[in-house]
Amino acid sequence: MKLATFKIIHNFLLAVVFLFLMDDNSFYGVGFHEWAGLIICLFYILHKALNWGWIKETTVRLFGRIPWRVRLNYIIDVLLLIGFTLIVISGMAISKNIDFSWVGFDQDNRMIYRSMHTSISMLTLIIAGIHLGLHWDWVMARFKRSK
Amino acid sequence: MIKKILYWLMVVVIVIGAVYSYNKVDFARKTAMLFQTAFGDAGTMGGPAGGRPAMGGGQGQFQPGEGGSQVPPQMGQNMQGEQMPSGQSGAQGQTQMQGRGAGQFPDFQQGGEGSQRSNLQPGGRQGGPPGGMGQGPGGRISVREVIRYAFIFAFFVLLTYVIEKSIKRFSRSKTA
Repeated sequence: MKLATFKIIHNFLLAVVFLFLMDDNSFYGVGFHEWAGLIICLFYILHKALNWGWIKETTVRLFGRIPWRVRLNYIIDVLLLIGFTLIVISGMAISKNIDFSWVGFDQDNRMIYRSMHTSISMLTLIIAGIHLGLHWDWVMARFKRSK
Repeated sequence: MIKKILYWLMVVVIVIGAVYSYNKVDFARKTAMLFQTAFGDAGTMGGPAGGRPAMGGGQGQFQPGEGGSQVPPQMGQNMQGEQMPSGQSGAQGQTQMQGRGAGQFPDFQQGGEGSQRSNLQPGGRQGGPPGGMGQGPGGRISVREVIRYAFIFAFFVLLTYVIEKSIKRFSRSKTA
């Protein structure tokens, strides 16, 4: 399998699983939600690893002369990274099926973690939509090439 | 031509679907949850249990007694809408409301001692109407919620795509 094909399948799965995770009861209950949430985190890291070249290059040139589109993409990516990180952390704090007590989350702040988990997932959904919108031409180009 | 029709049809479906889903999943409240907790009253954060009270669903339902006014009295008014002197509104309003068969107002905040509050409680997903098909904790799949979120997601993809194309076109026409 070509790397480009793998990338597109991987990205598609990432988006679909993320949508399935938006409602914790829709897809095999909270247990699945928690495990799939952790697994999608690994998928996300893989997504970053696959595009590491672009990340490295853009980080170096970020404050130089680069097109606004690239800079915007970079900012959106950073926001996505922050969003996913906070979702995972707050998800671990409110987890019911997986024991994260060893991390030492303050259970008095459970309500805050819960609202954080919900709010940030909604915001991340919007940011992920913007991210895909900015890469739509790339997606279409891949599909056309594979035909 | 067919491509154009399909494109516009898709745009219309996504926009209508996103607007409908936005209300259905209570997107605004869920997004603002964190800010309400951080900056506002944490007690109101969760809102009504199980989302908004369903129409005719029992909780928060308006049930006027005989002759009960259909408008909740404002602070400082009795059930007849008469202005009450300061400091008397609570007690007198209460007596009058009980005598006239007070209705149940879900969001009755001030001067409402005479009315029965609904059982709205903050937080949680308990109560409220039961979820749709397959929304229980069991091993079933319900794509209804997923489709709603997918519409919102698609809306932002489309919006970004359209804005980006417009900016590109605008800058191209400026340089030409």
